[in-house]
Amino acid sequence: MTQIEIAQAASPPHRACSQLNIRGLSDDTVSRFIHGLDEAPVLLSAEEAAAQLQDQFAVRLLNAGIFPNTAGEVLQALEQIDAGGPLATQRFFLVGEGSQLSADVSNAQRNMRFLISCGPGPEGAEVVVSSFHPDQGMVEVMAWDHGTGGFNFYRTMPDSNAWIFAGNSHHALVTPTRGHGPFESHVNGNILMKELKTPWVNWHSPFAQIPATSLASQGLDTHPWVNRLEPGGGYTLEDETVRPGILRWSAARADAIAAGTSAETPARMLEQLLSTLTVNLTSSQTTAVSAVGGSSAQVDLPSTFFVDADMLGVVGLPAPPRLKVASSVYVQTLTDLAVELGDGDLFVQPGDTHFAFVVPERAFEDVATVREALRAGLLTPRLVASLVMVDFSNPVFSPTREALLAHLGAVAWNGSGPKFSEAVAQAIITSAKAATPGTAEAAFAENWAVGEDFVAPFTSRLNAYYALVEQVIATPEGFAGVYGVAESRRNRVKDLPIFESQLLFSNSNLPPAARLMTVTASVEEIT
Amino acid sequence: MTTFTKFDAPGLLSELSSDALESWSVTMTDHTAQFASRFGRYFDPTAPDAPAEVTSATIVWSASPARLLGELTDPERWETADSTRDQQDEYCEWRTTRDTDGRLTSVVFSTEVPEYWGHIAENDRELLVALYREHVDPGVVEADLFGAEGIYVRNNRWNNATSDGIAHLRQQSNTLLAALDLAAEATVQRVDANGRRVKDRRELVACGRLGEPLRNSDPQIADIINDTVAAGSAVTLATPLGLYLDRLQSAAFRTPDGTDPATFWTPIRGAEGHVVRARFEVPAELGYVLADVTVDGRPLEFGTQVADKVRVRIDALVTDSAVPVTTKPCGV
Repeated sequence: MTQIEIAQAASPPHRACSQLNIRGLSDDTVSRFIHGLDEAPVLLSAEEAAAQLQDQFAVRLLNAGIFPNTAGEVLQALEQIDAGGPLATQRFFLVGEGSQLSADVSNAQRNMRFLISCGPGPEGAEVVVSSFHPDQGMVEVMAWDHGTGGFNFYRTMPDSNAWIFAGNSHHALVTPTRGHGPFESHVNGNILMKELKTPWVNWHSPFAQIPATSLASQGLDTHPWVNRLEPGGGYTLEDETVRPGILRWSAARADAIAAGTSAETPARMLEQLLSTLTVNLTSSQTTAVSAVGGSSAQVDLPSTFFVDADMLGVVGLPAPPRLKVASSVYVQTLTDLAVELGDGDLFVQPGDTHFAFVVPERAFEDVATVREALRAGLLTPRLVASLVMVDFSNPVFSPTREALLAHLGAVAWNGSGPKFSEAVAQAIITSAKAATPGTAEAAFAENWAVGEDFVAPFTSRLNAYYALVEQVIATPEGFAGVYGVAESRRNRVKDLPIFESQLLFSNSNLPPAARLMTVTASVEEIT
Repeated sequence: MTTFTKFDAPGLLSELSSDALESWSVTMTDHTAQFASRFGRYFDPTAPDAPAEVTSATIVWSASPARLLGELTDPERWETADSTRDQQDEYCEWRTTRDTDGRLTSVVFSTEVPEYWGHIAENDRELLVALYREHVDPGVVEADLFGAEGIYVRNNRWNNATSDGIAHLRQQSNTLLAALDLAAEATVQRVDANGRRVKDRRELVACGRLGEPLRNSDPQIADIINDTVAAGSAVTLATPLGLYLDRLQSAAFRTPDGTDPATFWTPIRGAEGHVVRARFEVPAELGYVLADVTVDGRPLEFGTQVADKVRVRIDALVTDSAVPVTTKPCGV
């Protein structure tokens, strides 16, 4: 009997995937190991694999008896098996939390890795490969399954060319597989790209190149993959792979619920709206160095820091104004709060990240999910608007909005979006807490009472808040408070599986605390 | 071994007479030779002593004005950039067409450099008018395009900031000579007041006065060329000299009937791989218009939403070089 050992040491590419470091699997095999479902790897016969795995990676390689071990071998095999076909179109990208540090910095953990999309199409790539090194094992693959829909998640093993099938996007949504294995970080079954807006602080892109010399410590600065890096970098990856892939999966989810063929219900989608299962990162367009050096008089602040701007847009509410802080105020705050950037090990430098004010924002996958739910008629705009306007000044990590999750369990999905939405609203507004001012339920009840014509009254409320924010960030004291909220949210991200490097955020000397923005643009510290 | 003997027309366009094509090449050679004489790490690929071994490098950026990103919300910047071509400063300009209900029906993009159209005007007025009639408006007459002294007006009534049609680039920064100048100047290594090499791309552009630091294009071109030179190479812009529509990144678009939106992108001028004019429009037989298409889940209302997904490109050639690197402080 084969001795199977599950390695305990955390290893790249994703912290959560360390559970999949399994030794002792036989070469030239594919096993299913879906955490929450399987106690141990289950070897798939050729027939089982053919029936269960209908993505282009499995169909063209694993199911055909081809078992590459390294990322380089995966790409070569796809290129050969589909010569002249879509899978031979492979685009190379480079990411690393320390990628924008000067190449002279030799002691930083840059966490650099390659991501390669294969078979680009109108709905994104067919196969996506992630690897720290072209010629080593420990490769992660995501590939769209044309049979079941959703992405299949694969992983090679450290010392063999055995492959593990770790689950499909569907497994991310429901118990007992939800939150386990790859779905600890891919919480909704989507492809991950932390930054989905310009200027992509950690990606090789037209906004910021990653010099090849940054790969020298890995011996990869002259590797052929470096010459093949997509000139568009993060810009191309976002537009051609990640966003379309997220839209594809979001649409498939909504269509499946509407067709009655899904194990999830719209309540799972509302969970994404009410809580913060994951985030994207955004930042100023202004570099910290240009603010400090004086070449930028102002630092623009991402609007999604102040409100859930993208979700508000989904229900027809206008975008907030561009909010900016004077560079002098920003720089003074960096100094006063002793802001520095470090990798938690040897490297530390004073100041902020390359692009200033990196903060978490509402995940694009949440926005896509809700938008698709609205399209498919699973939710009503009134319900979405009334929920998102609860504690709107805290677009992520809102304990108030999250409190409303408690009411979802009482509402069954009956196949009708309008009836379900009405039932959710009634469950909240008829609850005992709705009668208590200051509760999430009372806030929702007030929003719900506005009715179907919510755009004008909600816009008015938002505009009053924006005006107050503009006043607050005009002063060093006010902006320091805002900075404290930003740091509080960053600290929450550090508890998420997507946090893989200390270089993601700068740190200040502020004591750790949960801080919230109020609708009057003041800062409230939660003890 | 690669040998270049002349500069082809932008986009490898073949509409010029052989004499006019030759004079274009001579003009471009003169410009390139001048830059090569001033900047040691910028070479003339057509010179007798040009390096035999070169590799190509591609530099791309988004057509959408990055300058507006930090200033305006998305809907504001889309409307602003659409409203006047003066805002379109990324070596790519566009005009939109709408139906009687104001719904977006097509967007025409151009990266055609004004110098080339000026050259046509000098050499073949008949061709110039024919091109305007074909691509801008059938009603164009020669007198519309020339000033009182018989000089071609780039910013004429058919090709100005707000005209309905578009012939070629006309925003003041969008010229081939500006791109050439930027590429050559970017070979100079810059040092700050502490004697340290300026590496941040926006700082580099500000320090070397290489254009607008907040654009997509200028910092991208300057940074890549500056880094390439720092790594021991000399560079030049590749022939055919020009700015190109690299491609439309179409995966974020969704159509009502599932048609691949990439099929709505039609190159109009320029050889394959060297497209200088293209249209984004739904074929009439499909029965809907661009306004019925979504991008990133939002309805398509502005040409700039499409420009967000259009990649502009300039090509460079790179060769190893032992010529001493020029280093200067900021502002010189």
